[in-house]
Amino acid sequence: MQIKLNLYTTLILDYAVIKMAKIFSKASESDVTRAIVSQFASDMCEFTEVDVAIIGAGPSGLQAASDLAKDGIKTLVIERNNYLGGGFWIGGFLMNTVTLRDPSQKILDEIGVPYKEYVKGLYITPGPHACSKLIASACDNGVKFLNMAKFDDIVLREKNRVSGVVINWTPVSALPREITCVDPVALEAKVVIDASGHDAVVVKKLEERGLIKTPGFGAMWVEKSEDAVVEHTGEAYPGLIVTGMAVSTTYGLPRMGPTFGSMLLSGRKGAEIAKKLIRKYK
Amino acid sequence: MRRLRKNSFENTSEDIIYIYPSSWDIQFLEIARFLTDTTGIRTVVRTDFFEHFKVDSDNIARNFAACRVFDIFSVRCADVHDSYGVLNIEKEFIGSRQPVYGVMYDANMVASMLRKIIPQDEKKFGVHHIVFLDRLIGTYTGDRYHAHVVHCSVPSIISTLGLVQAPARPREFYALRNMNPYVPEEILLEKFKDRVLTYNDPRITRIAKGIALQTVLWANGYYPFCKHRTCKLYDAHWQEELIKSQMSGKLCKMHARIIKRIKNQHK
Repeated sequence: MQIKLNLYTTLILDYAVIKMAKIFSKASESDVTRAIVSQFASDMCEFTEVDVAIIGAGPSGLQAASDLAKDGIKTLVIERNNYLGGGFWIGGFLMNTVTLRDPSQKILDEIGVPYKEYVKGLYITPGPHACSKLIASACDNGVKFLNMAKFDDIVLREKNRVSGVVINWTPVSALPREITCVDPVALEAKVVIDASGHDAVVVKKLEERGLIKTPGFGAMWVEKSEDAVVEHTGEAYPGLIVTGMAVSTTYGLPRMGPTFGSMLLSGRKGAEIAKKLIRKYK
Repeated sequence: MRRLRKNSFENTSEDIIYIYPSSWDIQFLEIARFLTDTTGIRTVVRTDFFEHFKVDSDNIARNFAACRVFDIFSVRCADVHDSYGVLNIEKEFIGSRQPVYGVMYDANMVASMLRKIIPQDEKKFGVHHIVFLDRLIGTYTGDRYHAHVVHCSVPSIISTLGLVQAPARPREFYALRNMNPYVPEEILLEKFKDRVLTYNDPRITRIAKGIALQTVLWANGYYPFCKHRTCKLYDAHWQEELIKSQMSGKLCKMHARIIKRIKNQHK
């Protein structure tokens, strides 16, 4: 009886092992490594020359990227963090309800995010839902992302037109220089969008070189600040478009609270301007 | 009443007021009729200032960029007038003829820029230009820039955005806004609709009449503002006061006399 039971148990275990092996197909460690390296290298090769390079994957960068890629424009988003979405995951004070004002809720309709009207003209939606759908929509439209990569410098071409970006891995800048003497790489782009938020890293780099002057964002005239950000979205320097809160830094517009409508609409306007510039700089 | 200067062209029949409208839904012809009826001075409504004088938009964009106030606590305007982005945006604003939100312009610099555009034969006593501008204007007065509704000069500028933004709103409004910082301002303004002006408010035409009259007083050599709260020429610092003084449609005794005098001069 005991022998029979042992034999039965052995058979069951053998079956389980066979079954388990069938859940995942066989792949060696070297296969996994080769897959990562070859695909990433292939993507990098393809995206060393793009139509639009966007610095920052916050709401305005994502929206601009999504709209551009939807029209078949080769778009690469460079994000210094591991995660995409910037501050769009949370509203104010670490609370993950985000607010948007009319008419920006129409973008939520487009990407299929539920929302409700809190008071007339003010809409609320869960940050994780809105942010994840915005990222998904950008990916679905064909945007390529390079996360954990940091903007390092600009590429300037004839007549000082911005025509690319120099990037490096984020950890490189986080470690002491003595052990991270790693040279960056450059990517060419017809148009660069600075969607890096208040830091406005691309604009600041131009300022460092004395090519542009920025007053920085200020508490200048708070009323209609969202309108002002959208209205000022545009080409701040030949080949460079600013969107989102980078607009505030570039033009000295008022700082805003955690309302995201203008970020999305600014991204959309930035994409429209980029389409025109691509034709212009062809 | 303080008289600022002697108008050497008094009693001439050539006196005329030109009004340059803005994109706002203000009844400019009604304002012109009011000024003519009140002061006896012929008033003409022209087209938009920049359209009327067919100015080069690139040049105007450059000038507006130079007039931008980037720090309200500093008297010096930011030196960014040659910035590619600011110029682009200003060109866009001039082309679209839309209100410019979120930016303040130095009133003296704007007036100086507009003055250069007006031809020499129209820059004389007896001709007064009133430009309605969809931009916020302000002047630096000691501590910081203060937004204004009106800037009396050649030409006089009436800021349509200033009508809504420059005079302070009721204290309760600011308290409520601080408690609900993310609620759209339009919603909060609903609660104070009788005490504040909103963008494209239907009362603005009536209020603009009194403001335009202030500039006419200035152009005729009188101090343009009154200290009586019920007078149409009252220099209001609160929106409630502005609405009350302008909606009453009355002038104080002294200003009624002055206006009568101006009217008699233009008969």
